[in-house]
Amino acid sequence: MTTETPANPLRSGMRVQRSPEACAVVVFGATGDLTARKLVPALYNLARLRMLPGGFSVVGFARREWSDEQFRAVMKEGVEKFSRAPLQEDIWDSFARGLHYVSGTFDDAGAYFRLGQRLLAQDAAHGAGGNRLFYLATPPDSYTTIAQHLGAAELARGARTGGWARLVVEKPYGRDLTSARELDREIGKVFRERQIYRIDHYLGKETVQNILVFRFGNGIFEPIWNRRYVDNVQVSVAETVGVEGRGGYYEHAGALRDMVQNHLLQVLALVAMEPVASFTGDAVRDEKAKVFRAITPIEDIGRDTVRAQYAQGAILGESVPGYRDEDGVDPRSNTETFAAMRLQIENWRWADVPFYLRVGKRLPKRATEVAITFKTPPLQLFRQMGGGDTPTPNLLVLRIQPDEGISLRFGAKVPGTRSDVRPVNMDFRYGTSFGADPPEAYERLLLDAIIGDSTLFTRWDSVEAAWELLTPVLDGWGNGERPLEFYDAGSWGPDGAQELTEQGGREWHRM
Amino acid sequence: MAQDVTPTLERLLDQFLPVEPGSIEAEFDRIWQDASSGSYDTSSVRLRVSNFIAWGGDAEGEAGERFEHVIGLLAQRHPCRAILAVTAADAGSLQSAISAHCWRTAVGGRHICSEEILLRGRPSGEREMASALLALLVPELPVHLWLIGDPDAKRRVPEELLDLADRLYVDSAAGAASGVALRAIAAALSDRGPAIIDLAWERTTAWRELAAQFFDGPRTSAELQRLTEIEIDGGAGGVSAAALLLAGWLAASLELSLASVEASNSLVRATFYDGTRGVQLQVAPSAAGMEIERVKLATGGAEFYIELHPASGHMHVRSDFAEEPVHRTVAPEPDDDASVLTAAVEDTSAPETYARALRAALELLG
Repeated sequence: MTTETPANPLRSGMRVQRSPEACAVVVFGATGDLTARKLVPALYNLARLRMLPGGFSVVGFARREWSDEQFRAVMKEGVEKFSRAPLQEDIWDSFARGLHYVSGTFDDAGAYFRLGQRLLAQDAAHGAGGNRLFYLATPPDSYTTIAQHLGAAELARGARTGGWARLVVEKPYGRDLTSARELDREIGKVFRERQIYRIDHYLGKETVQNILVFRFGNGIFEPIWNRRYVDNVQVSVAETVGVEGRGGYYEHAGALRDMVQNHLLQVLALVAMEPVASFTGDAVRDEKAKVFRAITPIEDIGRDTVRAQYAQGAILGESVPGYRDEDGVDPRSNTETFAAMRLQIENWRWADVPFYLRVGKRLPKRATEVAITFKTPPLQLFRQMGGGDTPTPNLLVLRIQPDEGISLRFGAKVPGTRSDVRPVNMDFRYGTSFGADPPEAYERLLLDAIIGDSTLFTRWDSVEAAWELLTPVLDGWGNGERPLEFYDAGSWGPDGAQELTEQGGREWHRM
Repeated sequence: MAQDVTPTLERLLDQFLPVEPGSIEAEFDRIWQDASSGSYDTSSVRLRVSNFIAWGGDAEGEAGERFEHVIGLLAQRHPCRAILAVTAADAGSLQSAISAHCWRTAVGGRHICSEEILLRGRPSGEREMASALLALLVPELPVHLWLIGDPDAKRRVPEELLDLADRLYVDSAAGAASGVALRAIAAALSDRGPAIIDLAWERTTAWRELAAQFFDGPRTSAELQRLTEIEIDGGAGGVSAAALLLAGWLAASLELSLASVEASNSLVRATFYDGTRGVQLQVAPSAAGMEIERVKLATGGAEFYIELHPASGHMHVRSDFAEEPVHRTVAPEPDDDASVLTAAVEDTSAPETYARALRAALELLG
């Protein structure tokens, strides 16, 4: 619970209307890669930039028998290596005074008691006021155990003296609809929905947030952002990497669970949602949820989905092994490293406009893009350069990473005495027009969670709707309704992916 | 600046050109065509998102080079057509030179160039210079006008140029005396004209944020109602404009009524009354000669300090408030000209806050 704080008169007219309240961030899985690589560097940068309150502290919780000093030393290495700004000793020293460590296994009730004692001591020392943000940087199978123990140790409601408690949960949130509901039921026994922050780091990216600015901060795009003018929408995430030593994890996940269920569907929702009256937590999440509810269930899984796995090939001039030859992968694995599908959003704005999603590993280049293809003009007045009668459609591409930006393709007259048309591109690049380094996604999301702004976090109804859509696909794939295809590493995916768009007389946007 | 690559300034032509807009544009076009066809760098991109005028007065020679460097760094964040207008005693007719500020982007390594025109004229020829300058602006792009030196815009800048500017950047710390500079800005604020941004005010941003942060929490917010003492140290020799603005901001934000004041160039002492309590204010120069070195806020039960450490350049923030003690070190906003100017260009905070702080600061000066 948060208490109502009187308005601070010194904040009048300031861009930042409130700094976070003093609090303790408790990181479960504190000795893992995510903590040293992302979380602590993000917190250090927030502290450096004066965005964290004075009474801020971090408690690492993990099985290893580390002291506070050992934890600080390892985190310092992490900041030195991964922070976007160089470590400055006196600022680090000041930040590190608030770093603490509690050793324990996730199922050890005594460890949670010790954690509670430590937090009370920190409340006294740092003035954290009983506010706690619990961050689950652990394997998903520990989520329920940790939540239950936090409840049993009476840590899920903030301190007895007041304060709030929030829980940040990393993806994946369940493996399918049943397990997601089970997980939500168990966590829900301890934490209320408004306390749960399901993090999707894609939503913390500047360029993902810019989708809404682009659509609703400009007057010229929204009037044509509908079925009357848009022919199809494609959301693509291409990676050049394979499983990078995470074969064991990936075997149980696959592209659909790892990327489509969260990142791709979230981006799709931002592209397809209706305008909001204000950019606040539930207003945005309400509109996203409406999009998910309007997506038609996929009935013909064999026709409307594609699953494939990469075979041996070459990436950027180097030979790479096939997925089944990767460490930790079953040589007979049927896990998909490529997934594609066609979705329909049956609402007033998008009826009959296909939305294509694709994601794959070991593709020729790394890129995340949203491509919106517009309908062609009703009359063909001009000759297309290179022949052919069909005008090249206008194409708007929102590039999310890398080389973030926006480009618009349109036709222009070729100089000369004839009226020939050739497509040209108008290109906007973030790195060119804004020289500043954007903050890391985790900086934005951690700060929002500490402040209590849930706008960029995923609400349960969206998670549930995503699983309702995709669980039948997983089941259908398991039943052989869509056989696994193979594609050479370094290619743009299997033949089936091309057929998916060709069925509607379309093609994938070339990335 | 965020960019880790210092921009290079490429003087595109060795000689000064007569100020003829058509020739200058043609020269730019020719040069950029050469650049895109490979004479300079095949990946060069010419970029302008605003017009940025630096009205430099007699800032020639070393000072002029410094301002060109500032504009180069600013352009990395806000690529622009920059026009640096300076006067020189030995200048005859109005002359111009064209340059490019080029840098590589951190991501993708693209070679980006924005353009600069140097206008050089005689000291009494401001009106001619302004007329030439107006013809050189890129249409449809916002016009930022940076007044280098004395912030008295009404006296120094021709009216037609002020009328055209969307935003005017001045620095109340650049005047001979803080009081004179602040009064000049106050007079300009009362006129219809461009939005005025005071760079000295921008340099107080971190101080204001940190002071506000002390009182954001539910426990400390009430403490602000028990404020009894404000001490601000800032200025070399005399009290700085930034220190006065900070004092004015505190008084205005807390709606303190001025009861008495003693002010000189080197010390301001005032007493405010807010209902039943008195608040003592002292603004004095900084021992280390810094624009602002220290702020102390005291209530009946606690003291709150923000101090800029001269050696490390970092800010130490501490309070002994029993329920929420603070002791931390943070980075200040960079205070080099380019960073302050960049922050000013991006400043979207309410201008009324500055206007109120300025009025309160002037009250302190009597």
